[in-house]
Amino acid sequence: MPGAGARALTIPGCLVIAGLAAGLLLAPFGRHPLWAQADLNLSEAAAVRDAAEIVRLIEEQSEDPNADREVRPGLLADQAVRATPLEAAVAAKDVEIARVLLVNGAAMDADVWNQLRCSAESDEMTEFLDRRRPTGSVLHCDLPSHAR
Amino acid sequence: MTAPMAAPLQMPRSLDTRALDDFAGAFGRPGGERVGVVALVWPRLTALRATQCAATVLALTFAYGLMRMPVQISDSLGQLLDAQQSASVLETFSSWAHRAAYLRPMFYVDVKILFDLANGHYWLAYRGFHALLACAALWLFVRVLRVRTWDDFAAAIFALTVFTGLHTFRGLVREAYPVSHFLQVAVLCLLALNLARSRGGWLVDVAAAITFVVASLTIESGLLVWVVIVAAWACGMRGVSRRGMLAVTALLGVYLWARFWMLAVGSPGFDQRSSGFLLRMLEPDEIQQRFGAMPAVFYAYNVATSFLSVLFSEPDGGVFEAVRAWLAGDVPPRVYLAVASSSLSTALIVWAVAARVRGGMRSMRDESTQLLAVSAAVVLANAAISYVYTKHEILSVAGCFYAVAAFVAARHALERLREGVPAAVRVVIVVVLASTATLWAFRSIGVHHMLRVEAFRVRNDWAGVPAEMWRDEGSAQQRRQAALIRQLRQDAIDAPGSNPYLVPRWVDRWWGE
Repeated sequence: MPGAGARALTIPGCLVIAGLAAGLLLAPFGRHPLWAQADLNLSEAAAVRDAAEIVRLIEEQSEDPNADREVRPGLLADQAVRATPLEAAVAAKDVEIARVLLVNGAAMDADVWNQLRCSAESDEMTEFLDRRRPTGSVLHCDLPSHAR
Repeated sequence: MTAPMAAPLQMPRSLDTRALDDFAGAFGRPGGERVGVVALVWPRLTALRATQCAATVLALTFAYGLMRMPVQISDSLGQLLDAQQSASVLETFSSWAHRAAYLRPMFYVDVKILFDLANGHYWLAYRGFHALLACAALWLFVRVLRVRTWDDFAAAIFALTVFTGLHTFRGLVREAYPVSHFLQVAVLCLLALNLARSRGGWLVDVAAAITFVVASLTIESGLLVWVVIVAAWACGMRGVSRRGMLAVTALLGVYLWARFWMLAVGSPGFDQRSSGFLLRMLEPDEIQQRFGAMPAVFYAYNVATSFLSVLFSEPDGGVFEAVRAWLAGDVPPRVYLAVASSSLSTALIVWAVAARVRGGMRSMRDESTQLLAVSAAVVLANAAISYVYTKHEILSVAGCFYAVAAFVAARHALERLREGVPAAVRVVIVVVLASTATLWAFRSIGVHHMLRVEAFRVRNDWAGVPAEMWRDEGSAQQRRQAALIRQLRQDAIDAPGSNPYLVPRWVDRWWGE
């Protein structure tokens, strides 16, 4: 029984430490389980609110911030969808990501604004888009959204 | 960890058994004790070395996580720009020794020294130093425990999960401004306890004095080094001699004289920061409005909730998070995990303390009693220091010493098991130990998730920095500042990111904040 007490104290902590040690061994190969990196395209980065990755892809890999790309299942919908980075940001309801995209070259003409404004589901995003409404744009939400 | 000795082989007399005897004897020890499997694989593995190995793995894991984090913007960029502007370490010390409300010149000196040493490699210098401090904290903590037996090893493994799983530890690794001065003070307090438990000598006394000076001028909770030294001496630890203890006390007097009279720094008012009260955070103007006429009530609340926070992980930052979440109809499992694990370990500590009180505390030379007494003194003193406002980081030293008390409590429980208690009691003890250890082990994983989330947040913060801040234009000073910001931003953008939105939602429900 005395051994059982020591084992009861030791085993949980040792299991955690063993797992962390295994993670450290995998780290040089980029496979640390707690620090896994995903290879994201620009639209996926917007969908998962990764502003730094958005900036890196645009600045260092010259990615087009206006092109649509396939977003893998589970990020915006259960199935894969095609979306521009701005559409992904609006679907993710992240105003800051939308702002970063606009600052880094994403274009929003009247048609794009209308599409985004119609698909916006949060008040915060709606207000954000309204503040950046292009001159002459008209809101009419009878067009299908690419981000659905 | 040894197995009972097996019966020796019985061989026919006609065979030469000397080789077999030699072979069997290779696995024995004088006295016939047979070694276990672990010792067969690693003959020189002792309980102490095993504990050190475990602490090393933890330290390297934290170091890895910290090196994945860029230098943060909030509360850091301003310090770095100041360091860039400052002509020398002495100028930095002098300018920050005269600020109102806070006396923290050593903190800014640290920032300046690292800035000058960095030579453009700021992330490496600051995060590297942060990682070194985390490693030092774990190493000094293990050293305090003085593991000798495998029961000590078991208690130490448990204590390490408490040390790293407690919410007060999170603040030590989550943020650095850009130096984690709270972590620095925690390291210095653990160093002070190690000095108090050393063999002594004039060098130890000098080291204790230097430790106090550095800690007290880094941040106000550095005064806890004095509490450690005096409490340790009062309990019979003589590593720091009476002369050394008096010298540190005299230095405390000099500090108080300098702070409140010579430099007239004063102390921060309670209306300068937000702080938790009951079910929400109060802004400074709200605090002034409610407690301006009776600040003692607010101070007493902060001290009491700080103390409870260390023992029960609730309230959190002065806010009763569990109650608030329950009223909102959604209590995340991490709240149950925190409160349950802390409550169980506090119960074990209370049991260990009660046993000593019942036993009359005849001799303060008992190492466990000494550690419990010092830990209690530090936890109470740290709670008292938090009278102005409550925050995880301010209680980080208390958290470290709470983990020391948890080690003592676990060892006490194992000693009781060895002493012959009724079988039913033994079962209860083992079940409690297993539950407590499991909860803490699970909880301790959460700090790594928190690091990942924080690294992601800091990286994103840099992505949002306006271009005007790092544009190469303006005066020479503005260009230098812009160059610094550009460098830090580039370090952050280039850092490999790990996105917390790609992990299952339950991870944040159990380990988030």
